[in-house]
Amino acid sequence: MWESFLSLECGCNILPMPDLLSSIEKFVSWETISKIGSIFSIASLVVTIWVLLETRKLRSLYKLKVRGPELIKDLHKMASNLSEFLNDYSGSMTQIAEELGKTSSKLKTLQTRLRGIQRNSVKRVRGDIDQCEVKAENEEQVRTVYVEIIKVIEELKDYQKDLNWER
Amino acid sequence: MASEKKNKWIDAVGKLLQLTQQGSLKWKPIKPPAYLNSAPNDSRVDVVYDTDYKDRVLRLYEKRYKIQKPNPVFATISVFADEREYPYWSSKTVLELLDENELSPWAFPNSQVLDDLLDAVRYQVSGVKDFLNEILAEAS
Repeated sequence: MWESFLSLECGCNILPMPDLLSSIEKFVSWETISKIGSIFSIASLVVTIWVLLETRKLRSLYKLKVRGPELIKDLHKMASNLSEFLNDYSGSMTQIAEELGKTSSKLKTLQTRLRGIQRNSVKRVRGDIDQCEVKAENEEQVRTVYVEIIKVIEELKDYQKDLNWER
Repeated sequence: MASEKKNKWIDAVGKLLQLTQQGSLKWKPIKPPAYLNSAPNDSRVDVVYDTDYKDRVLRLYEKRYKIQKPNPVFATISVFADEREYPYWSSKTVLELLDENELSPWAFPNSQVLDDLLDAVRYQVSGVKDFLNEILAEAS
């Protein structure tokens, strides 16, 4: 009777109230709630991991923004000193070895503040420096290391410029 | 890609630096040509160093230029903006490759290695090494 009344009044086919309630009950069952909960848990785990990664990225970005220019300036000075000593290679081998040591240590500090391509470039140059023994017959190798240091400084300068636009 | 291209130039200037420091490439100081000092109130060049390398002329110099106060509309907001007094002078090292008529100079991209090359050229031209050796020989 109820069913026929609704059909007559509205001119449309509406489910009778008991059927509606049962279908809602069926949809909002504990099983369904549990499934939705699980989906949200997984989604929140993904978001947490993403936030964690972004925070790490921001932290290193911030560290580089604050200390980067000073470290690059120091590296610039060290490379200039190295070039100056290369004016008289045979007479300045001790100073060259010292300067390379200082440069490697500075690059190590910088490496901890970098990620991705720049980090790999710094790591590679540090490897070159560590492998380079400053002795009379290695002048060519020392000069190659100097050029590699210049390249990494230029790369870092460009990266620093990009950072200024990023955030 | 841009970085690779820049690295090629650094390699090239690094080679010039090596040749200069080893004495294979000789530079000579000359009076700057007129085109470099055409606007002396805005930019100046005191001395240029020329060399011949593989039948081409290379010209190296330090260019000092005046930095004018930027237009406030386009100026970047900076915490240091008020500390800087305008105009002020800045400088950059320029390495040019000239054609056979020593015209239409083409400038190498700017990088730190150019500054080091200029220092090496000044060291070579002033004869510091020989002077130092003479002093040390006299002292001993």
